[in-house]
Amino acid sequence: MHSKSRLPLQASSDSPLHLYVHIPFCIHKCAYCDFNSHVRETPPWDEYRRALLAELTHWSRQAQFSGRRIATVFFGGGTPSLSPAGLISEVLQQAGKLFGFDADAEISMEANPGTVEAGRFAAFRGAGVNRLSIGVQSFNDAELQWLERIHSAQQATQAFASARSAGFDNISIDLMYGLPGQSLSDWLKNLDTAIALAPEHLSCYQLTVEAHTELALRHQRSPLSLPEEDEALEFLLRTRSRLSEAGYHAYEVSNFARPDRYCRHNDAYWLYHDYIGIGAGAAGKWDTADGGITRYSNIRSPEAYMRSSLDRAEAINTSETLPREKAAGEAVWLGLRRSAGVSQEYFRHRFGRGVNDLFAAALQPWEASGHLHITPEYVQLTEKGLGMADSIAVSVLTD
Amino acid sequence: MIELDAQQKTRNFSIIAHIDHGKSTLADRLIEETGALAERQMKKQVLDSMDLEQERGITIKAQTATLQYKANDGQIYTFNLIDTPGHVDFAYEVSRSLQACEGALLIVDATQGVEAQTLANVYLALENNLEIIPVINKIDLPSADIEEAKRQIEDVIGLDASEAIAVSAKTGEGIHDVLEAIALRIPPPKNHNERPLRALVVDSWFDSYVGAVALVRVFDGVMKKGDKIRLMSMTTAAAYEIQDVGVFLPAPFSVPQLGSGTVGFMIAGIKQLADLKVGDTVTLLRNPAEKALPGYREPQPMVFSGLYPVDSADYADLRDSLEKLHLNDPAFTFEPENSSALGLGFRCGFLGMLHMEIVQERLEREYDQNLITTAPSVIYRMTLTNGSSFETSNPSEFPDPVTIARIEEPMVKANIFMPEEFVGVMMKLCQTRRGIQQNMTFIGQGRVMLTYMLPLAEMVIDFYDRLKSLSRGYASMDYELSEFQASDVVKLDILVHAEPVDALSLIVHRSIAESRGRELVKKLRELIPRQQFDVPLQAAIGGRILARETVKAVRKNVTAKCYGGDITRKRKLLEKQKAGKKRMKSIGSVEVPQEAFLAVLRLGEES
Repeated sequence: MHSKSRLPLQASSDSPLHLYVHIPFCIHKCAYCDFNSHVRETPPWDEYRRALLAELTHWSRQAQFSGRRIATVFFGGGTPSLSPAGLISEVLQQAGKLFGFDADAEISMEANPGTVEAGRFAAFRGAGVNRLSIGVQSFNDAELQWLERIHSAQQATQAFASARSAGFDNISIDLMYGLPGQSLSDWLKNLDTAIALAPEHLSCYQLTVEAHTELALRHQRSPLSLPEEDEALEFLLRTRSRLSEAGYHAYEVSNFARPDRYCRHNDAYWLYHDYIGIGAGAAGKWDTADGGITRYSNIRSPEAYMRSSLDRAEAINTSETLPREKAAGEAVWLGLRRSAGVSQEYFRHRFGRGVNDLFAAALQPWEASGHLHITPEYVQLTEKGLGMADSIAVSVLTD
Repeated sequence: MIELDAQQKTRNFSIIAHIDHGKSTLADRLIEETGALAERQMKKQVLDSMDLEQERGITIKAQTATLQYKANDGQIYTFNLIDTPGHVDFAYEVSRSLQACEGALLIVDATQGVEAQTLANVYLALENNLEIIPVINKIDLPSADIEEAKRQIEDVIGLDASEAIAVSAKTGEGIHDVLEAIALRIPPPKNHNERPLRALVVDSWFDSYVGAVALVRVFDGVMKKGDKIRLMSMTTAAAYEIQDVGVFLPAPFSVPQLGSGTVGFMIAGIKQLADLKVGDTVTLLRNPAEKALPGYREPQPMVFSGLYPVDSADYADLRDSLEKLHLNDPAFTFEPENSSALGLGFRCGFLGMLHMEIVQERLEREYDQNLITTAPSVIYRMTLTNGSSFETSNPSEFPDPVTIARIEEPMVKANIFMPEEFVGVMMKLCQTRRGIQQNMTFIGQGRVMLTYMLPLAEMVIDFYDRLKSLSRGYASMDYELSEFQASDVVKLDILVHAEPVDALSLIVHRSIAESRGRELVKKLRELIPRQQFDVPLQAAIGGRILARETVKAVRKNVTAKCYGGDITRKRKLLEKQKAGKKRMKSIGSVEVPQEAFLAVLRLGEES
C-alpha cells in the first residue's frame, strides 16, 4: 500500500536513522508528567501492536527513509515495560525486516521499578532489548510518594538487581532533583545511592512544572517552594562534579555516562539526525532536499491513533517544514546541549557555512561574556554557559 | 417646533463641581426631566460619551445639550447645558465652556462639603462673570448635612448660599426647583441679532460624513443655512457655505437658524479640522464683524515628558498620530527631540499629570501606539554667566553647571482639603516636597484646608498619588500656577552599564538629589530584568557617583529535558522568550523594559 504523504520528501541520505516507539499506557498518571501517557486498565495490546506495525511499514516505503538502516531504537512512554514482550519483539523483528539494523544497534527501553515489570526484564532482553532505562526518580520513599510514583525505594534497588541478573550490561537510572523542600544534601544522598549501584548511565533532571499538568494547577493554587535560580544552578553544578568524581562523563545538560555508554538514541536528537517515531503522540523528523527539515507528530489519544494507523497506515496530527536557516538555528540550539558542542565541520557540510559564520551576531556576545567557547572545530558551552543554554538558544533561533 | 429665536427665553449654563459630587448625574436628570431623551434611551451619564470618560467617570471634552422647559410661569424656555470637565488639568476646557454661558450650577456634595475643585471651578466661573446657583446634592444620603454644606459655601468660598437648592440627582428630589432657578435666576443672553455675525467655536470635531463640525455659541448676529462664512483667525480668506445648523437634544437636530445667544452646531463643508480651531470666531463673508471675540485663555503646558516609539521604525507613525490627536486636543504640545538612548521621539507638553496620562492612553488605545514615556519634568528658566538665558524642561539640555548663573523653577499654590486626622501626614508630605505653608483653615466638620506653595516639579512626581494614599482617599487637592522662583537644582544622571542614559536623567533639587538617586537605582534594579552579565546601575551628579546597585546576571536558564517528540513545542517556548525581549528597548547591550523610564513615578510603591 502506498499512501500519498502530505509531507515533502527528500532524497535518501546515508546519515544514521533512528526509531522511536511510543507506548502510551500507564497504571497511574503522575502529577508532574507532561508526556503522552494514558491510564487504561487493560490496554488494547493486540490492536496497538498492529497499529505500530502498520505505521512502521508505511514509513519504510517513504523515499526519505527507505533503504536506510536503523542505528538505534528507543521504546518510551508511558510505561513500555507494561507491554507484553511479544509486542516488543514483533516490532523489532518487523523493523529488522523492513530496514535492517546496524551491527551494534542500541535498543533501549524505559522501565518502571514495579515488581510486575521487573519480572519481565529477561523476556525483554530475549526480545532484543539491550539497554534499560529505569525510572527510579528518587531513593527516598517520602519523595517518591510526593511524586506519586507507584514504587518504593527498596523496589527500585531490587529492580536494578533484576535487570542485572536478566543480563542487562547497559542500564540507566533516571533521577529527579529540585523537589519542593528537598535540600542539596537530600539530593546528593539520592545521587550517591544511585552511584553505589554502578549503573552505566544516569539522567538527572530538575523537576520542571510543565504547563497543563496537574502539578501546574496545584502550583498555581498554592505555590510550591521550588529552588530559586541560584540554588537550582548549585544543584546542577554539584551533580556534575559529584558524577564526574564517580567517573561519569556529563555528555549533555542532564545526562551522564561511563565512557562509550552514553545513550546514542537520545544523542541523535541533539545531533540533528533523522528519526522515525511510531505510536500515539510520537514524533519523527527528516532532512529535506533544500537543507531544511520536516517534523511530524502523531495523534496523541491512543484510540484515535490506533484507528488512524489501522485505517490509513499513518496517524500524523501535525507537521511542520522548516527552511534551512531555521533548521540551522535548531541544530545549534540542540547541539549546544551536548558537552562536545556543535561541530563546525558538520555545519559546513550540512548548512554550507560554519556555525559562527551563520550566527556571528547572536553568538559573539555570549563568547565575549564567557558563556561560549568557539574554536575552528567546535562551538561549545563553557561551564558558565551550561546553565544558560536556553538564553543562548533564544539568541540563535531566528524568527 | 422649537422657537430658537425666542432669545429672551434662552439660558446658557454649565454645571461645575468637584469630581464625584454628582455633576453628570444631575445633567442626566435635567435632560430626562425636560424630556429631551426618553428614559429608556438614556445611557447612564449621557454627556460623558468618550470611552475613556465613561471609564474614568470624568469629562474631558465639552459636550452640550439643548433642553426645552415649560416653567411655572407657563413660558417655554430653551436651556443650553454646556458640560465641563471636572479636573484641574482641564481648567482650560472649563473656562472655554464657561465663556459660552451666562450662569452656572455649583454642585456641592451634602456629605462631603466644599472640596478643592469646588473652589477652583468657582473662581473660573467668577472670572467669567457668571451667575452662580449653589446646589446641594446627595441629600438622600443619611450622612447629608445641608446646613453644613451651605455654611462652607459661605465661609470657604464666600458665596451667598441662602438660596442654595437642596437636591438628590439620584432620586430626582429638588430637580424641579433647579429647573425653575435656571429659568428665573440665570440672565438671558444679550440680544445682538442686528450686529454682524460673531460666533465662538467652543469645540470642534471631525465627522467622516460631513467633515469638521463646530459647537458654536452665537454672540452677535444670526447664522443660517446657505450663509457664506469665514473664520476670523484665517489670514487667507477661505470662505465656506453653511450646510446645516442645529442644536443637540442631545441628539443633533437641524433648525433654520441660530440667533444671538444660542448654542448649537454648524456644518460648513470644512474638510480639515485644523481649519476649524477651537476659540476662533465665525463671521459672515459679507458684512463681517470688525473684531474677533476675545479668544480663550491659551492653555499653558505645565508638565513635559518625552514620548518615544518602542520600535524606532514607528516614529513617522507616532508623528501622524500626535498630529491627529492634536486636532482633537489642542491643549498639548509636541516637538521632535532626539535621545541617544531612545532615538527619535517627541517632547510633549501637557496641562497636568492627568492630561499626560490621558494623552498617552488615547495614543495607545485610539491610535495603537506602543510608547516609552520618560519621567515628567517642568520648565526651568536658566540664566548663564554670559548673560544669556533660555527655558528648558529637558534634562539633556541642562547646561554645564559652571556656566549657570541662576535657575528658576515654577511654583504652584496648592489648596489641600482633608479631615483633621490627616493634617500631620499631609504637612509632612508637603515639607518633604519642599513646600512652604501659607495657610491653615479649619472649615468645619473636622475638616481642614491647607494652603502651600510647592515647586511644580515636586507635584509632577506622584504627589497626587501619595496624597491620596496617605489620606486613604479623603484628601482633595487643587492648584494654580504661581510665579517662578530661584532654585538650586542639579542634573541627576543615571548610568546603566557605565553609560549615562539621557532618557533616565532627571532635574532635581540638590537637597534631595542623593536620596532620589538612591531610590531610583533601587527601583530600576527591580524593573530591569536580569541579563547575561551583571549590569551596574549608578546615580551620579557630574562625575560623582551617589548610589550604585547591580542587576545580577542570569545564571541559569536551561530546559532540563529536551528530546525528539518535544522539539517543536520547546522551540516555540524559546521563541516566545524572544518575542518578550522585543518589547524592550536595547540600551547598548542591556534590554530595558518600558516601565523603567517612568521608574521615578513608582518610588513610593512597595516592591
